[in-house]
Amino acid sequence: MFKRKGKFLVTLVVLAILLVSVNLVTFAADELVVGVGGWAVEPTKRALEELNFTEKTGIEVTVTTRPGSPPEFISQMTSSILGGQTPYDVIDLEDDAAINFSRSGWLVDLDPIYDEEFWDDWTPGMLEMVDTWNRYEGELFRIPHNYETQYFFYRKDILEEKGLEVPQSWEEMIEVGKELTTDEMYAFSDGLAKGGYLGVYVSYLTQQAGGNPFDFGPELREALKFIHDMIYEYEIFPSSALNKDFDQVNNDFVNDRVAMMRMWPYFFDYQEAQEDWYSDDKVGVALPPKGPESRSTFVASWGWAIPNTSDKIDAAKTFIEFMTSVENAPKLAEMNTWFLSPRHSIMEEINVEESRLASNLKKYSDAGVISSRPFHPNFRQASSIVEELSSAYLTNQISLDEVIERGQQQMQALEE
Amino acid sequence: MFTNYSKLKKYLIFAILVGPAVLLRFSTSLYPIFRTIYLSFFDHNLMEQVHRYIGLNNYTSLLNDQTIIDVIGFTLAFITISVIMQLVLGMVVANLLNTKFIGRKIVRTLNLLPWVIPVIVSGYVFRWMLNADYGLITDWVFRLSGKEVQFLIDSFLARGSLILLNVWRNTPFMAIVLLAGLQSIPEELYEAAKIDGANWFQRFLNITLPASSSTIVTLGLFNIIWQIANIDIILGLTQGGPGSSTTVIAYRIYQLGMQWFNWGRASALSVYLLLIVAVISSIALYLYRKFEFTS
Amino acid sequence: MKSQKTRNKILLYFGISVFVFIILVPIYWLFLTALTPRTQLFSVPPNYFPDFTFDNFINLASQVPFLSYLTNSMIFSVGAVLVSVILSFLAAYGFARIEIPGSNILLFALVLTMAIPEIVTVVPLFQILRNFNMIDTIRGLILVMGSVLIPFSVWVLVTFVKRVPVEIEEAAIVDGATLPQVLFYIVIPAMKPSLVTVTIINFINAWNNLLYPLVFSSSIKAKTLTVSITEIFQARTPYGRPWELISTLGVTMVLPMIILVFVAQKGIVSGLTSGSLD
Repeated sequence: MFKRKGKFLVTLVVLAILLVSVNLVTFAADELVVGVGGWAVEPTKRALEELNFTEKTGIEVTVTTRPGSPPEFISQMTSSILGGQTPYDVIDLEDDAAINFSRSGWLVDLDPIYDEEFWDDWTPGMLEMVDTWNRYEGELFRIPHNYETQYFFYRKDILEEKGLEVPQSWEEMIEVGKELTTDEMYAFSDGLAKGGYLGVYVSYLTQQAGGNPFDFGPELREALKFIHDMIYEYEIFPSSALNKDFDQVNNDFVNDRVAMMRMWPYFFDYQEAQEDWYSDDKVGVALPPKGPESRSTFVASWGWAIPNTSDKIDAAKTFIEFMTSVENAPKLAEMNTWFLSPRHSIMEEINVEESRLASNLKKYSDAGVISSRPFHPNFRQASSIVEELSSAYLTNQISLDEVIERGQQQMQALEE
Repeated sequence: MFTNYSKLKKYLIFAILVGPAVLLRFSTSLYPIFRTIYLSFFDHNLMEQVHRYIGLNNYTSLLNDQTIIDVIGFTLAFITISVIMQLVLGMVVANLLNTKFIGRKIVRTLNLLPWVIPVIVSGYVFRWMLNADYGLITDWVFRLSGKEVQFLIDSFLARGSLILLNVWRNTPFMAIVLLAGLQSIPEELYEAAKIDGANWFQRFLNITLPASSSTIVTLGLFNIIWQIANIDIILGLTQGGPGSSTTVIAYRIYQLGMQWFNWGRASALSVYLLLIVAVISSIALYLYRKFEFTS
Repeated sequence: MKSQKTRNKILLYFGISVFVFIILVPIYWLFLTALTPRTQLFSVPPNYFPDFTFDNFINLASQVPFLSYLTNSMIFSVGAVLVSVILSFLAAYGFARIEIPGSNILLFALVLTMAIPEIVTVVPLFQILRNFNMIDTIRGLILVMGSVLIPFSVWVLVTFVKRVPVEIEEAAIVDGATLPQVLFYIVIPAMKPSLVTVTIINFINAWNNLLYPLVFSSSIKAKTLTVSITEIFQARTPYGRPWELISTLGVTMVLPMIILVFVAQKGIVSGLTSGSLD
């Protein structure tokens, strides 16, 4: 009896030692590790395969999933970079994380990859974005591979049925909105939850009012007042939107609960997946309604970057060059819209009419409504401040004056 | 035990027994703690790439920020209300699980389920159930009262929802340990009290409560420490909103350090949190000693 | 008198029903969502009887290397439990049986190390692990998690050791038994229930931990099931989290726990009840 128990314990201890030692052998990984969001893993792998990357360069690549959302991704990267390592040699980087990492001096200068000529392929609007969002202290820390803007989607059939025109301005939004809103359907909706959604919409409207939300000026006030009025005064915008993400708004749209919305391009894929529902007569894309100042919508982008703690910087540069060169960019864009941007080479090569996204991107680009994303050197914290105060105002916790007053105070504290 | 050992031998055995655990724990926690305390005296911002001694500046400027004061206030309220509700409800559930009924074994097992679900997942479940449009609970409230309640949009209700989720998750564990306490009370005590004419509440007050008080203190302590440092529940349910109404200290530390890269400020706030926990722990330990000797 | 008894009984069963209902509704909703086709998720009012489908599980498995993560989660959790329970048991015995000045303060300090938020510990911990070459290894994760679980385990086990009558141990020593023999043959059998309880509590804590595996592992070698919550996606947006996949992941994470709870329920419930925590 005693012996058996003793044996059992010895087994446990042995097991423990085994478990701890099972990982003692660390693999010497020679492969270039590329971290992309889960949705981009397959497209990236396919692109590398079809364009024969390994054959041409002799570099083996592992494409792996990075945490999709910025907070978790930043937590992961921060710990490892401060510890002198990195989980990925090349990262597909979104705007907000890019600002954090570049200001912290963690990203490799990519300018040496290309000479000046390369940039002839880029439109002036894109170059402006590159300067604010991809350069710091003169160094290029990220090369964007897409150019995603927010589109104004509307229900063709419903507007037609009621004999209404697509609103062209904020005032018309309210007029049309009153006509459209019924018990079953709101005229407008949006994903305005905290944690990256609300701040984007507030920025979008503030820009249309002619300002930058981070200034906490009259333009932000106008934008917030506009949302507040749509929700509470005219009741053409559901207050439940304040707790929604994009996924939920898209669902409301395809379930006939919303007539118009601003949305990122992934709604193009989304609507087409709704085979029973979608038809070309149902959904239209219009230019954004004009605010007090302009009719604008801003761009977000993703791009390739190299953490300076990588030990394969040269191979990583070869990878980035391969993925962004004038020769390959159009081929990639054709394979997947994740690599689509209005670079000249891309717009010339691909059949714009065939792709809904490409044709609308061109339409917006030609109309000149695409502008740079409102910038702040401490983007994430500044965005949180805007979001937190906007959320407090839109849920009627504080007044508009308090938003402006507290916002200015907090932004000032941020500068110090 | 070991009383007749030489002093040296006693120390040696103690070192062998306690050493490994203490070494492992301290080697992975002392450096982080001291580093946090050290950084709290510096302007240490990754994005500005600065590291400059600024004395108590981080501490004072935190206290000058109205939002931080609100956050500390809500944290204390959140913890206090949660722990009290968990203890009270835990006691009720423990008593329920201690009575004889058909299917008691299964119910005791079911009781543990909320506690084994990852906090972040139950956060999402509740976010969904409380959603103003698709939510199950919202739908029930509407059917029963005809009111469309927006739980996570109204700041007061959002705070309440957060506390309720926390209570839902942690009460089962409380209950099961309190149940253990109850079962160690000899049945005769209750019988005797019954004969003396004590009603249910008096029996609870005079027998159950004193006998379980040291359990309550121990559990309360760990519960507070676990919950005060947990941010998964916020990440899952509210992201600290609406506004900053459901932001707790630990979540703010996460934002300040990991998201805004202001490690000096984050460290100072961590030290405040550490102090709060130290005070609570000391009180709990004092109570623990007291109950240990009196009961 | 009899009618009062019946009334009490009715009240009792009513109370139990309410309790079970409150416990089960969110869990039922979690399972239901995992089995609901995506298109029926967003209905107003909520869809109480959707068509069931296993598509979400297939979808989840196509997004994350499920089996590797599951294996890693298992090794990680079992390892963390072994490290924490074995070390904590020894330490608890030392604290409970050997009178040494200052040992109480040491115990208090041990408990207090829990008070620092996880998030501020990860950067220094990364440096420590890197110095020992343990980044992206399960053994590194085991050590960190084991360490995190020690304060609670020691604290609880100390009270249980004190409950074992010291006289038997002393008698055994007098009869010539060594200390390891005393521990193996007397103390551990007497404390088996509480050891089981601490084991299960620690297992659940390790199983559900997200931050450490997220930060300290970067490849399929060491990532655990919890990390997949950061990797699942609905579309190309960094913000949206696909609700149905979160539920599906939740179910796959909870199922092993539910099995564990049912199998070990004797262990947890009677384990705690045969010797109370006080």
